[in-house]
Amino acid sequence: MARTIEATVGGQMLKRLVAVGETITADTEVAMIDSMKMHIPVIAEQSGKVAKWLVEEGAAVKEGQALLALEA
Amino acid sequence: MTWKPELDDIAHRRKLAENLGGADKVARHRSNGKLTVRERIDGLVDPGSFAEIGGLSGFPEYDATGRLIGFTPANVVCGRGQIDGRNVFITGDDFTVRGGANDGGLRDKFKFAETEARRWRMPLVRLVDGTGGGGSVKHLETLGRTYLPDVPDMTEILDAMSEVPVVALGLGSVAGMGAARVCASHYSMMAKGTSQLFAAGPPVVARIGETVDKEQLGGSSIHAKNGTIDDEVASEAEAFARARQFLSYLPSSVHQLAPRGGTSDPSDRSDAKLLNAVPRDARQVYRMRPILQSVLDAGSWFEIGKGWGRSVICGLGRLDGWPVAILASDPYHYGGAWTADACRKAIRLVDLAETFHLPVVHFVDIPGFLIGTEAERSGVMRYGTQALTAIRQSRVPWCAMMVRKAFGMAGLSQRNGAEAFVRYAWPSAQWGSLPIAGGVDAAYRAVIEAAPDPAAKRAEIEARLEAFQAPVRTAEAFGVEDIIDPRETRRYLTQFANMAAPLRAVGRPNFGYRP
Repeated sequence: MARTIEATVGGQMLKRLVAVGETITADTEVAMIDSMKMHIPVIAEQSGKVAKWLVEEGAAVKEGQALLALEA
Repeated sequence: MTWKPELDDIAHRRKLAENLGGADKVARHRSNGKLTVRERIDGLVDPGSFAEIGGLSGFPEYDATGRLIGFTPANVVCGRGQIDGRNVFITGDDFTVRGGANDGGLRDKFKFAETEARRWRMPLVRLVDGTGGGGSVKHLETLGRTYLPDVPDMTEILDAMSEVPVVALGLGSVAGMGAARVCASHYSMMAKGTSQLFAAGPPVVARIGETVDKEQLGGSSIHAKNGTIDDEVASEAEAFARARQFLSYLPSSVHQLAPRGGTSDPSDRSDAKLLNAVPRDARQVYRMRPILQSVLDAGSWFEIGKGWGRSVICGLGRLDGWPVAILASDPYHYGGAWTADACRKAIRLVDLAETFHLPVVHFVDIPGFLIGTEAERSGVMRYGTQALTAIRQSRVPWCAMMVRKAFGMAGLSQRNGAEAFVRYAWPSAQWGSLPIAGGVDAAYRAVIEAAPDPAAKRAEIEARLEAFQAPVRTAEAFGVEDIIDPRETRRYLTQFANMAAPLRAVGRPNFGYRP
């Protein structure tokens, strides 16, 4: 099963904060989501190398939706 | 002639009981990364304090002459022990005897183990590792009939939660009654990887067409996110340590008050960092937990339910040594808006505080209940109303620290039903029936639509209304008691805890505790 970083809240995907190929650690802010009129950072809960973004900027996201995939 | 032969026989039987379900079963149990029930009890209580009750009970085998040739102990091991010098009652399932199932216990012993704690007004700790309940359907063949589902003394077992603290640890695959015994508690944990919990396990679930392993079906990561349990822990040792710490904040029963702990942390300690803890930019979030850790007695913060209902932070802590319950917002989740799960989590904490007479400090930053279609589908107003009801039914001394937002019906959660209620606002606080941004369109639609430049008109109205939002305007009208320097927050809170301590009153809660 591919490891992913999921949206911690539902809202609109404002910005990707890490690029494919970048190494992230637990505690890296990977994305910014607009939710309840606030800018809410999504903090990774696991470390790894970003393999692929799964969500476009500007798209609506649901809580728990996978935002990016990490390399296996 | 002495009674030595009888004592030798009893000592021999106790020795046999220590073998649990036998060397093979114990080895297999350990190879699955689990401790035995006796190791668990030793890991939980103060060294040497466990006094077993019913250690001779079990299933003996006698030869034709009446000589004991074998002995399998009952798979319920129970007794009294101490945690930090205070009595607790412990009941542990022995998985190595018939998988911890009920038919490997003794009905009377199970009843005793579940009800003895409340009779002596001491906390109950359950070490759950078995299915409990009905055991196997094979039973029907020996019984020749079936029976209506019931558990002897279930009413009393559940009522214990309105009398004494109940801590339950899921330490294996627990289903049915075992699962319910984990949930029927004030604080529950599961050990990651070695514990699963479900209404029914994978073989039964396969019959409805779902093929899953037990971890996929009911692993701790599932239940720590949905609130079935409070917390998942990395090891059994961590579960024991957390159980001990949880109980340290509580009285032994509702008929006592929680003991004051020691602290060397000055009650008037200020913290310069709190001056800019809340960003001026209203869209920017901040971390609430460092604020809590800063104002509580050093090292006393104990978070509960970190994995679910995450816009609300719940836990226990101490102020000038006094145990208190902490309710707070986490803006990192929906800006602190209360989701259906957040409401359920807040209810659980407030009911715990009310049951055991713990004063509550609420760090408020609540933009409202969560809005939108997902929120409506989740039934947020039903749970939100339940939460408000639970909070208003609570009569323990209450302190609200208005950190940032308090809007709408969810904002009513700032205070409980106590007369002894104190409230302070940080300068970053803002509140109202509804946020200006959302309210202007509705209230001024005609004016905005009639304006030559509607957007400019909307901005003008918003700016005009923003000026009224400063908390000092509310303080002028005595709508809030005071606005304080955030750096001095601890001083106000320790004063509150000391004022609250003599107001705490013993007795059963005014409702029956529902887990």
